[in-house]
Amino acid sequence: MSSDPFRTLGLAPDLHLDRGELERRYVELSRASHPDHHALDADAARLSELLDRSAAINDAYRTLADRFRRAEALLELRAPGTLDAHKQLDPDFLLAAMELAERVATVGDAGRTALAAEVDALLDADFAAIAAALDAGDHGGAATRLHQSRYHRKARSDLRSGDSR
Amino acid sequence: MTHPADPDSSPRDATQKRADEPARGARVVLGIDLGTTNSLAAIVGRKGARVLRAADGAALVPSVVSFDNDGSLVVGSAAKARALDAPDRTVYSVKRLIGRSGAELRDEARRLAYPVVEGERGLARIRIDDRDWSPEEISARILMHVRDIAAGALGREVSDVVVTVPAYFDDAQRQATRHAAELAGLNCLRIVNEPTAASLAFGIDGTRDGTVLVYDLGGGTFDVSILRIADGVFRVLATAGDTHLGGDDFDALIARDLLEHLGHDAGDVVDPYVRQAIRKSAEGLKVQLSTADSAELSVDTGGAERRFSITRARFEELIAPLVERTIDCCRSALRDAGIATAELDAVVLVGGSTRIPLVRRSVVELTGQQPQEGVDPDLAVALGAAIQADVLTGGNRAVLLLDVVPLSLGIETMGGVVSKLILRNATIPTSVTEEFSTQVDNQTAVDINIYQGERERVADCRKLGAFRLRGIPPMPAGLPRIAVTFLVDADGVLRVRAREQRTGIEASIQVVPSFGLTTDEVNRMMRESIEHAIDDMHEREAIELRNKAQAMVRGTRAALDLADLPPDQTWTIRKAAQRVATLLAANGSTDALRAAVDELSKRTAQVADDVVGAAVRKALAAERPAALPPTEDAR
Repeated sequence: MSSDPFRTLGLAPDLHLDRGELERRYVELSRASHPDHHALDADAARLSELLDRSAAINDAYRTLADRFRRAEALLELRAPGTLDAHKQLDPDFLLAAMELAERVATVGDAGRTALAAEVDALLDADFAAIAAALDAGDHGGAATRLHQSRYHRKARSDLRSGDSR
Repeated sequence: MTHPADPDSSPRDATQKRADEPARGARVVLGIDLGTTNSLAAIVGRKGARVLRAADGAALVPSVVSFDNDGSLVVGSAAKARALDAPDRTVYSVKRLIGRSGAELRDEARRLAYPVVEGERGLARIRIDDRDWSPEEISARILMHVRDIAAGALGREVSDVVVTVPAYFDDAQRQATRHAAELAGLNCLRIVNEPTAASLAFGIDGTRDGTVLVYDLGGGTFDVSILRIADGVFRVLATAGDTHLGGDDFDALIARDLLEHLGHDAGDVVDPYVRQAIRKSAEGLKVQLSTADSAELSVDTGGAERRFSITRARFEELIAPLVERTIDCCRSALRDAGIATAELDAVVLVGGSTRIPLVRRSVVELTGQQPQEGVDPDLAVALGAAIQADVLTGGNRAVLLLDVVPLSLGIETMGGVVSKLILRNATIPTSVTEEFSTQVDNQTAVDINIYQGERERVADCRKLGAFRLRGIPPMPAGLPRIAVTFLVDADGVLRVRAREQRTGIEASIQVVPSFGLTTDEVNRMMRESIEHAIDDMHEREAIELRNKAQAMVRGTRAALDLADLPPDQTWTIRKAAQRVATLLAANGSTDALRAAVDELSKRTAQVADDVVGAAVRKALAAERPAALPPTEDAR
């Protein structure tokens, strides 16, 4: 099972990849392998292969379009297993993360925008730190920060789903 | 080369009038919009997508099947016409039942005029006399009827189709729709989501690139999809909806008001005749209220006449909560897509219920912009399905459709919690591989339950089915590594594959659906439908004859008005045409009609080379005989 999304999309493994290039590759490869474009000219085995290929392209795109998931993929590529090895997080961080989750759960409409901006700032800081760690070859540091960012990503998505209530 | 403005206006050129047809021998794939209230088919010809009409010019085929006392059945407008006379034998809105259990439909069934029972595995079945019909079989009849009309319009057989479903249909409802096509003897190349199809019809000309919201409110279902259209790529960003919200629900609210006015509770009405009459009246009032400020009707309550009137304000008050629910769906789809209303470049309204002023107003209020004109809410979905059919047959490689899965898919894990494997709004096809192991030593099988929905707990999601992973080699607990791949294909339908990693053994999987037909059931129904195929053939011949007869009557009359024939000849032909028309109206025996048609042919053949014959031939060949224009040539 190929799990290298960069390879699937034929892109150089790079945290700061060009979004336009990603979109172009994605559409180009989708056109070539989407089962819709081979409904009549391919046999069942070939169609099943195209289906798997299309699914892989879609999944790779979804990974690379998200900066944190892109960083995870890059880390897995450079130092396989590092993410799993650094799941243990600092208790102080976990305490702060729980407080943040509590604030997200109880925030009213009035404070929502401000809290969202606060979480966005945390995410930006996470990403900058992850990028720096990856640049410096500090894979363990990048892994820890990636795990931390998950709490902030969760907070952001919870805030979003509460937006229109 | 020069073309007349309308190729159909030249009766002499037999090849030109078919200029919009696909070339003989080319593969023809129909796009079919299988709707709650109406269905229709379209194809892509050389001039683009167009709807295929019956001989009488009608595009919309009522999605109604009515059973006669002798076991035969009629479909479409003939069935709809029987709704009041045979309410308990006339099946409508079957799309609301497909892929659902009897228990889920208990409230719904109370409103229907025909009997819905719980059949095998608790599935919804329609009981006519002593025979239980699955919603799939009823839908198959509708599909066959639409196919026949399309075949008549094209003058050739067709068996390849693309069928649309609401974007929010879950796996069970999609599978059931596929089965319906199979039972109809059709080869369904693709299931396409209705709002996505509508966006194809809207954006195919390449001048509408941008971000689009498609709001699709039909007779029984609601969908909203947010799409990005760019350079022929139609990418769905998010979709949301409710497969049990549509015009039927608005009718039911009016019906409740009407019954209350008459001093009844909606639950009281058990008589199917009364139920059907009330439903029809309510629907009529609703339609009037789209253009009038108030509507009324008089009800004959056994001698005494009672009047009931309803204002548009009252109607809006009744439906406001339902309309608000659609707007909530829009908000949630926009949020999932990460799109602000200000970023929308266009709003497209589809489905008959979008004619309701409150619906339009609510969408305008939400999006801050007027919906696009020029999109026919009744036809857009079928036209889009035809465009997708054209893509599938290689006619249009420029278009690429990237749709999404509407609801998350997961499996049951410890403690009744759903572990999500595929998240909603993931672009399809999409796949996830998960590893499982055994809990006890030498365990050789694992049961896996599949759920669809957004909630955390099994009890709050819909169980799609279960399968047993067999053939695991005996090993200590936890040692086998079984990789199960869940793949959602381009139809939005789940496929499951499994493999034991250490031994490489492919485990066999047969998913037993919770809400649909098993493979065995589909096969049995197929056999039954083959047994009925002979009857069906007669039925189809009868339909074709009627279509031909209608076209001949129209053509002959139109031609006689223009022709300068001797009075006695005019009179004989007119009489022969009148005989055909009378038999058509009486809906009598096929043989008598065939004789009358032959007689009319003979009469017109006598003046074969003059205008009458020419005009009749043209009428028969033209797509819409009703639109026969007087041309220079005819004079």
